[in-house]
Amino acid sequence: VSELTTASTSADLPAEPRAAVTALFQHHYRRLVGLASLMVDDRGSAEEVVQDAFEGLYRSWGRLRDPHSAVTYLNRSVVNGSSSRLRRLRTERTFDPPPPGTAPSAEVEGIADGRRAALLEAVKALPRRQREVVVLRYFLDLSEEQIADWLGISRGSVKTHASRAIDTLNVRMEAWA
Amino acid sequence: MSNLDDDLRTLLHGYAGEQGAAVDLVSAWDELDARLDRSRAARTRNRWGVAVAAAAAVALVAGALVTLHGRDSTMPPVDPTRSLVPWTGGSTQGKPSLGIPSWTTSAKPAVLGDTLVSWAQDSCRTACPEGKDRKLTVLVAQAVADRGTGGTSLLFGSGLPYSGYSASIEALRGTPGITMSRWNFVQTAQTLTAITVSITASRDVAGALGCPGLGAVGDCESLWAGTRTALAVVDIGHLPMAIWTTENSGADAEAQDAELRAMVESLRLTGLPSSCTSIMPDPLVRTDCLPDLWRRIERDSWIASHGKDLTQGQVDAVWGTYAVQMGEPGGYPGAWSYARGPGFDPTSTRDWTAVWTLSGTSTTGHVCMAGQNVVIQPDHC
Repeated sequence: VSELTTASTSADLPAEPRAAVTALFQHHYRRLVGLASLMVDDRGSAEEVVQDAFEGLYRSWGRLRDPHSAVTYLNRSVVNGSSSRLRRLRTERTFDPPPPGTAPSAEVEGIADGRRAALLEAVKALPRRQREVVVLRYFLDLSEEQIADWLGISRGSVKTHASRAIDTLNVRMEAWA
Repeated sequence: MSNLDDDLRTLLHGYAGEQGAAVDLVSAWDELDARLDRSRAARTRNRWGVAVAAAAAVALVAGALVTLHGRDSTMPPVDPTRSLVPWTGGSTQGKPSLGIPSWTTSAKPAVLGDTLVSWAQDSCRTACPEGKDRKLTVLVAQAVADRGTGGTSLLFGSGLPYSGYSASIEALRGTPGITMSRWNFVQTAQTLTAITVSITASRDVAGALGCPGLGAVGDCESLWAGTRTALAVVDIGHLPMAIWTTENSGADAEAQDAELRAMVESLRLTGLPSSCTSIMPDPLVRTDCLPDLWRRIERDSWIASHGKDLTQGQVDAVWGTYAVQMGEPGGYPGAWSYARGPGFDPTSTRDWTAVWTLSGTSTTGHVCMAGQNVVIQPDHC
């Protein structure tokens, strides 16, 4: 996944901005909605964030030094857009777990239904900054240095947020150990 | 690495995969398309405000004149040959039913095995009198022409992925003598996703539109100088179905595009196990569709590779998104499990194995790593 943060599509992007955005949409839209969904609490908001990111990319196309950095641009736009959206709400939101019956009925790589739902709830209930650090570290596989750069905070702050998040998650998951 | 680290990775990828899979891609594209139009229009307004205002005034005057003189003379006549008639093809790749242009009823279809059928209105293949040269083709593409070597090749060892075929079409962009529109999205009658594009050619490009099998470029479908092709690529599972019409480039482009869109919107596929015909976001997987699941993992891994060598972990993560969906209501109805073979190393690019057990039947998948491609098969790599 880390390669998704730096690489473009396997085929060369079309030179024409609209065609390039179309190609990127085709390859990345679903994944980016997934990324945004980890940071905001509903898919509608996630899709708005991703739409904003694509529109911003289109407007900024002429200023991109390297068109192959477009995927990085999109990833960062989604992370920043999600963060702004949550910040505007002025309150840390808690996650409403999915209704019964929507969780997997079988084990997925060893995470049983209840444990999966509990862990998801715990991640979504983390303070915004901690949640962002967790998503960037475990979903995008970014290094501490990269996370610090993306979020505009110090590397030490990244360590602190990550450590607090893991502590919180461990406590929340003790019952499932 | 702790269990919590592993669980977090699996959870986040699985949840993100679910959310992404639930997206209505066609609606999303329509919305973005409109936003980009507005964005472009705003930029144009900023740059050419005065000119636009003048043009609008001219248009208003012209519109008033049209109104005064009646609209009928400005409206194109309805072309009766654009109406669609139902057609059902016989194919082991899935039996397509769709509306096709009525002019095909007077043309004898050319059929090649169970992968290609085409109708031609006229014998001329290049520039013909306007409206006299039309060709409709339905192809379940097995290969694409390797235009560099002059031979044909499979992008995948065991099937041409939807994305690979689309990429081969997209690669035509920038070719001298070829003009392409942007891609659009259409949904079939069964809500499968199709993408459409138009290609205008002022020179021949042999084998540009894919091949019904392995062989020489001459066996593949080509672009011809002086023609315009409206093409749709439908993701029918492990292979792409391409539907296109070719007309003289001077023909009515808008009507040609609308006709193709109507054809795709009417498309239904039967004859495959239902679980094999459902595409994300609703993939159901049955024991007899395990190879189909593998083809999808191969295809999505190729997309995720972004031109770089795949790792075992990347392929494993792609499978994870399907695993989550199999566990959802409407997913796999029986018991199932997945086990990585011994020595699994997420950072490795070496071949590996995994065992899928569906309803008590275990099948070892040998995951053969080949750069940005991967092939999953029951035999050793």
